[in-house]
Amino acid sequence: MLRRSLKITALFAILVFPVANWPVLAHHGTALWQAGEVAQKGTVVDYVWRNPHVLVVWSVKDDSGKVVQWTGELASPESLMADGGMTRDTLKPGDAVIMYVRPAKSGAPNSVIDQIKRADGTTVLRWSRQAGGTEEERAARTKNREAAEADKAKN
Amino acid sequence: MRNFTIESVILLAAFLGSGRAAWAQKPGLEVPLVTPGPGWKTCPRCENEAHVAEDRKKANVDTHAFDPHDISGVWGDNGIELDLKTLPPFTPYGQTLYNATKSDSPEWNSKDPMNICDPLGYPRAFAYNYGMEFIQLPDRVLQFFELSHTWRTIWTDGRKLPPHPPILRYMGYSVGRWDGDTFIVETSGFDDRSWVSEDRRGRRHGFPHTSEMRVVETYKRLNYGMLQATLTVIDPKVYTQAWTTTGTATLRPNAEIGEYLCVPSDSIDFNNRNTLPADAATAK
Repeated sequence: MLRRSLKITALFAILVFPVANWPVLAHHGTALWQAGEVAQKGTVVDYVWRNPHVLVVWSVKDDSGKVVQWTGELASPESLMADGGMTRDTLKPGDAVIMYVRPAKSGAPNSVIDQIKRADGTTVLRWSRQAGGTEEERAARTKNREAAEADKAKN
Repeated sequence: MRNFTIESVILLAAFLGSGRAAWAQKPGLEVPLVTPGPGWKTCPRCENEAHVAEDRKKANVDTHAFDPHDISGVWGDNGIELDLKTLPPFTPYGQTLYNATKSDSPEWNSKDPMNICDPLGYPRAFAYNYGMEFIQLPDRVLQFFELSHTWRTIWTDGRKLPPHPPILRYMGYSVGRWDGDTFIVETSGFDDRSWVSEDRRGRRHGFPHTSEMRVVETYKRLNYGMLQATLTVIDPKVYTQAWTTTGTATLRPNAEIGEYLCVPSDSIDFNNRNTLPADAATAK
């Protein structure tokens, strides 16, 4: 019963936190991105540590085994130093990562990155101001993600 | 069913009230402070709020002695956003100019001059700057802005504003003087291609101005670590009244200006690689 409640609640949490309510950070808005977040296990292809926004490119195998190259944006290098202590050496091509992203509404393999972990679960970046949201909304997204992952692990 | 509903409500409340969850909290002192090396300081935007608070505490900014006629130092984080509550109505001509800034896309501001690194100009650099530094010299005050890695010169040698300058400037022509403990800056001679500011209400417009805009600012050091600022936009062709913003900037004792250049090729590359493919309106 509890697990069922968790699923329902997680779904509800997604529904009550539409992207439209997320405040816009930096000079770019967040209207380009879907409300839902996805996690992707992939391999870093490129890490562009430049202004105006840092880009990460990674390859992912889709369900059919086809390799798809995704691109995701972060805040400026300056903001990433402040938020995650990141530097130009934090990622390099070949790194195995888990990317938590909000994909583009257009359907293209483009995204805004919310969080980055390494394949072993260690955190690279837990807070991405580029992805938007108040502290409460970020908390909901995090809890929602963790609940979904826990649920998946149990099953 | 009743228990199921209660459980759902409790869990939902946990979601809504989980702002204290470690993952959701803003970055703090656990994030290593990044500097170029020993003896170098971080940039104003490169340290988070917790590190800033710690630096300010160490520098005793609230009790430190200060000269009210010295506004030098690295100030602020991101600039002082223009106050939309005091935004006056547009004139008919101003409304036309504002309408012309409307984005081609509903999803991002495609007409923002910043997209291709056209200069922010003034007073947009007041509102959005990643931090700025005042340096006082005997005959002028220099103001360096982190964003765009640019500056303006505020002349304090008694000269007057040029009535009809031979060339218009994105940052305008500035003169300054002291009135008691308040530093007053007047600026005119603006190139009208910049925006006063982007309109953050939906991010689809910019606030326009003409080359006849005048900007008047006041700066007063309230204590060692706090600078009060006001900025008034006067452009009767566009705005029916003067538009005044008041705010404060905080001293950043452990920061120095870095090098945030807006590089056109980098901005174009960024937009081509992620913004334009993501924009459903232009991706087709």
